[in-house]
Amino acid sequence: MTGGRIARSQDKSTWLATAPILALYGVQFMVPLAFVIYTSFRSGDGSTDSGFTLAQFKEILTNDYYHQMLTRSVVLGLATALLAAVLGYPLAYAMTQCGRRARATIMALVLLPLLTSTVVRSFGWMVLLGGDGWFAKLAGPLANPRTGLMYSFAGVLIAMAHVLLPFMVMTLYGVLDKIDPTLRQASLNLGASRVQTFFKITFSLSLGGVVAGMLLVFSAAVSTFVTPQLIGGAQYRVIPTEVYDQAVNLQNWSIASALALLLMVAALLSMGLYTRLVRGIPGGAAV
Amino acid sequence: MRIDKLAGRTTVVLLCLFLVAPLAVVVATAFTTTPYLTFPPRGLTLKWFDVVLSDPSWRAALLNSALLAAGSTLIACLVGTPAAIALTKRGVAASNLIGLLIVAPIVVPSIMYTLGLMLAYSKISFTPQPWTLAVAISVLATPYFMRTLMAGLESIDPSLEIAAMNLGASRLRAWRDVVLPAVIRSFVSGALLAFIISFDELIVPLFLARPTDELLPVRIYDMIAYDIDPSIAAVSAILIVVTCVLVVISARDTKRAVEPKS
Repeated sequence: MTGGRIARSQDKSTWLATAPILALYGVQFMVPLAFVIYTSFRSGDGSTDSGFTLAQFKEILTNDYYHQMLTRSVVLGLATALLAAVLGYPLAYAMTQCGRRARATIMALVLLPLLTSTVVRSFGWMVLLGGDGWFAKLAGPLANPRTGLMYSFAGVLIAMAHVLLPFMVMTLYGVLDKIDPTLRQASLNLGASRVQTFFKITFSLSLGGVVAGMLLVFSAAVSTFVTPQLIGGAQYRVIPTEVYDQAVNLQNWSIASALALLLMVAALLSMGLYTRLVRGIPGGAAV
Repeated sequence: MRIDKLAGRTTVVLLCLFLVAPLAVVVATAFTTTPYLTFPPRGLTLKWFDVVLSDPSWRAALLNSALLAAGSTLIACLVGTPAAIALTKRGVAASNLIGLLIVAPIVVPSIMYTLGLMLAYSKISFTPQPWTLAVAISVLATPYFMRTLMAGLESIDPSLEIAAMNLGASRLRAWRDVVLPAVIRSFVSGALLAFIISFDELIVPLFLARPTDELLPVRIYDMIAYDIDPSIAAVSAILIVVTCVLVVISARDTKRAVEPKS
């Protein structure tokens, strides 16, 4: 009985200690989300409320303009996840192979973009991707002679992969670090080459981590606003920038809400998949 | 050196350059002597830093943003600290659900959250005040603060606290003398992270506060979208340097907050 009482008093103190944050989140987070969900099923702008409707969703799914934008968002999300995996893998792998100091340096460099101001980082990319920026020159004839890689898929993709790289590297590092080094040694002892060992042992054991990292990056990429807004501009519209435009500039709150709701569903789905996947991988539980 | 090792090293160095490239470019362009923005910069001058630091409107924006971020960080610490302590204790039935709710602002697209705030405010015809901005932004910063703090709390051996209590220390005293010193570091790192996130927040003020409030990220955003000159590079360079210092101070602890957690 005493155990029960302790558990109950612990439960009570937990509620007490979490009451302020639950109150804050309830009023300041859940209520706004409920407003978005409610508005997405209403037509008009609030003053001319005409009851429940699926018109916005029908419009989004059938209208070519929205259709293209949804596709663009998904393609950008997938491409960002893929590029982040390609760029992140060598970094995460190097972190497992090098000394402590080098590892800390790589870690700090990976975290830096995420922690520097979004506008400042985008500004740097505007200089690099613009007409006479180095990246635009690197791309040669693929870049627009006047605007370079700005306002293009490639430009937005590079800047997005850059900022979301930490999520990929952290996930991969967690998984790679847990691979038993004796497995690699055994493979080498049995006569496999280093390349064979890498693909047969390291890479195949970390594949779950690659997919998990990609889901995480995808989830973050589809909901990113500032980077596509500044790098993509009006020529490269994705869902978050459209939500902003519809809500703030056009005052079309129903469409904005419906788009935001779709965005949340996509982000939650890939996060949910990520969580399930990560639980199943060795080393995944730690990340 | 073996050829594959050399190739591996070159790849890593190139990737590291890629990571710092946009930041390095911003810092470099801030020193240009040309009246327009150019990279690589021409000449070397501190003129643009002087322009920025002596301009009252830049200073006001900086001060506004710092105050807003301080307010938001304070709220995050006030609501986040007791919750983090309670949730770190084992065997609490409610903690899974609450824990999930607490990370929700990281998972839910912040554009949806901000849109919701805008809709809610307009429903009750409320004009956002500076303090409501701080409250709104604190919701986005709190999860990061809590995760940093909780990672610190989890790394403490719970038997130490129990030992102190067995030796006659009260619950509060055991916590103050045993747990607190060990978590101060992660508390400070979490608060720094919350401050950085709050300071940089653009979406919330973009939806709720324009055009009256002058906040630094909003001002930079407007200027790079419409008219770029090297003074923005100077402001940005200052922000980058400050962030770098903070990252070096708290990298070990903030890493845990950024780390994805299932």
